[in-house]
Amino acid sequence: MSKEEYILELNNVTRSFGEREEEVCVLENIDLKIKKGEFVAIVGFSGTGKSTLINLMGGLLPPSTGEVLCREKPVLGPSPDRGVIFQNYSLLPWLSVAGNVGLAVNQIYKDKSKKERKEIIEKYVDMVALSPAIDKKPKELSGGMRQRVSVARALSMDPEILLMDEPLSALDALTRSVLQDQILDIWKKTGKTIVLITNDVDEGLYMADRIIPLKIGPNATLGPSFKIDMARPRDRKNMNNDDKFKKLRAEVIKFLNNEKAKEKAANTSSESYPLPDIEPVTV
Amino acid sequence: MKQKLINFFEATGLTWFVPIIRLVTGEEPKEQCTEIFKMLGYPAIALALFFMTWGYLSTKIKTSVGALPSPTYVWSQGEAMWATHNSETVRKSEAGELEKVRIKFNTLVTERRTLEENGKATEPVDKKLDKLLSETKEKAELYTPLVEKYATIKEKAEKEKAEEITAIREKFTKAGKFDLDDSGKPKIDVDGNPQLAEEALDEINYKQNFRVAVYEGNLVRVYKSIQGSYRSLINKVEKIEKYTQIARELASVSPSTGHDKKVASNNRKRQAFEKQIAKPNDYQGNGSIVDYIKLSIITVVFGFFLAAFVAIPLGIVCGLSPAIMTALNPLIQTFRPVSPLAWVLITIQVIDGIFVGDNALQGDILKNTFLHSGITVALCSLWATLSNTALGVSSVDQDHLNVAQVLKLNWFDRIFKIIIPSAIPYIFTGLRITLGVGWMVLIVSEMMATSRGLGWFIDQEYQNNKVESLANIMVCIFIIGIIGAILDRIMFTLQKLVSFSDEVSA
Repeated sequence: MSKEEYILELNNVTRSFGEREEEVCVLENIDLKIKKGEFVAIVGFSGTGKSTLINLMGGLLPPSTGEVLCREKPVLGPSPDRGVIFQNYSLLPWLSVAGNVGLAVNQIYKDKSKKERKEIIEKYVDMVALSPAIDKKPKELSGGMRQRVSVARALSMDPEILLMDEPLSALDALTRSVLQDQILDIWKKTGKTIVLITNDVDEGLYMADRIIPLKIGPNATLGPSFKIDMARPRDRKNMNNDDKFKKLRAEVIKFLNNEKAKEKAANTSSESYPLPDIEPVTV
Repeated sequence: MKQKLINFFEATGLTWFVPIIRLVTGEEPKEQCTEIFKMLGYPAIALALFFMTWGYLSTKIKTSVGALPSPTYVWSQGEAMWATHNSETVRKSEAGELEKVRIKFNTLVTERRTLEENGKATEPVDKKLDKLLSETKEKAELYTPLVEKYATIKEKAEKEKAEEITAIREKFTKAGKFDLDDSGKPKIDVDGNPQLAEEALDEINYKQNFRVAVYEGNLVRVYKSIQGSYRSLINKVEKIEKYTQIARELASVSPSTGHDKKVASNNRKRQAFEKQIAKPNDYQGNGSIVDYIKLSIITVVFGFFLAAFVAIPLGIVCGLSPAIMTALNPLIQTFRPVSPLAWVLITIQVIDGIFVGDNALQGDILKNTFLHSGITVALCSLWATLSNTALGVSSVDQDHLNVAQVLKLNWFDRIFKIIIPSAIPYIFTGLRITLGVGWMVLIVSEMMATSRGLGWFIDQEYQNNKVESLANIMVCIFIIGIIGAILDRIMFTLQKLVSFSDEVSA
């Protein structure tokens, strides 16, 4: 595969919701090209359409205009090639860990025997280090463990691309860093393409090859792409002393802050209402 | 073990047992005692207040049939019902024994007939019959001491009661509490004695209403009637023996005029008695409170499953398809508020139209009346499950649907692996309401349908129009309430088991 071939492409994609006058354009003119095996992070403030972007890539939502291509073919719906990991884990509460992973495995490996499928399930549960909890129900697991089940479920479909929608944002800082390393480890082992949506710039910088800020919506579009050419494995402890890292972080944060400032200015200029001249009545 | 018990009681909602277990295992005794006092003491106080108020009101409120039954009187009626149940059990087993004896006699008599017809010797059978007859005679006489024994107990109890009443009468006579006429003289009652004041009569009536030695009294009747049945059976067998004897004598003498006629007439008589003992005796029990409770529970369970069987699939369909929901909604909204009293009438007519005449259902439980009340229960109670199922199915978490989409589950898997499982907590909430409504509706539908459950019994008692019946109705109210609460506990536990979170409203 030549370097110019992209596994996932978004060409001039626009997505709006609502009808006619109430139509709100969430994403506009999104152009994104992702190479095979690449780890791309998309960072932005909450409510800017990050999840919409993932849903477009995953095929859960069709674009209003423009096209989403996966290996040069238009994406018409969800497919097992593109595993999605949702922010709120989306585990089925009535199934055990094995059951949740099994739902995907049974769907993808329909022609394999029961025993083989069981082995596959065990393999992926083991990959996220949850073997001891394989028969537990989601409500008996901690947040981090639940997200690992979700990762195992997505991996078990053996997708080419993993789309992660803020997978770690609901977790505490310690669990978060452990899971970050686990995801990186899996990425290294499997060579999958990963798109990570996050609201944490440091997370993006630590994990990804490329970080792209998303501007503030409505009509949000992608900002410039920042390449993170730091050697792997990256050292979490010394990151903060790394000049390259500091410079990149400053740039990304500056970009995002500018966006925020622009939004504020726009809001105050157009939506400043005069306060009514009233006083409370005392009875 | 301890934790298991605690988990069990928490799962069933019987949380007041938890501190007791902790106390028994010696865990922070002081705290547990406070907890026990809170969980048991407060309800106990409320119960005590309830019974006190009831006791007080029973002395003040006059019903159309007499004073309102007091808690103690209702309790004694409950005991009397239980006693009747026990004596009915005795009656049933005695009747079974009697029937066995009848069958033995019948077999032997038939056997002898066959032997005679084939010209074979009948001595062994004759001997067996003789033996059985003498055994049965002995057995029948065994009831005499039993009857005497229980009659004595009964009489003694009645005598004591009569003495107590006399004591009350004397007490009031001494106190000079009479019903006075206008001139200030006591009125004279029908027996020619001065009439006691109303309060005295009330107290006497109250005492009079208490039934004593109910079980023993019932047993006297049961044993007397069983003894009578044995004697009548013995009598018939003896008649058969007599005519058999005559037949043999006739066979041994040389034929003379009218001989054939004599033989034929004798044979007819013998056959008539043989036919009588060949007829099976169906046990016709009077039924007891336990039978009514059993039938009521079976009926409500039947109605409940019928409701679930209709409502869950329909609810799933409604939840999946907004079009069907919209189509059915007016019907659902119209039928849901209809009273069981209206439904039961239609059910009776329809069922009696289907199972009419010889087709009428005659099973021990499966009777037309059983279907009347069971179907009414289902008709009135299915709505809660229907709307809850529809709600559960239509409000499946979008995340779960996304999962189904990403996994590209087909239509069938999507419904059976994602939608229905996620609706199960809703379905069980609906089922719990359904069972509650069903139990409530059951009583009235049994009254109307004359299905012999608790509702029917209450109605019978009401028709009796006595203070005693009023007390019996009150006993039934407690039974109905307690069973209803137990059924709800069971559903609560199930609901808790299937729910994904720990919060289930008690």
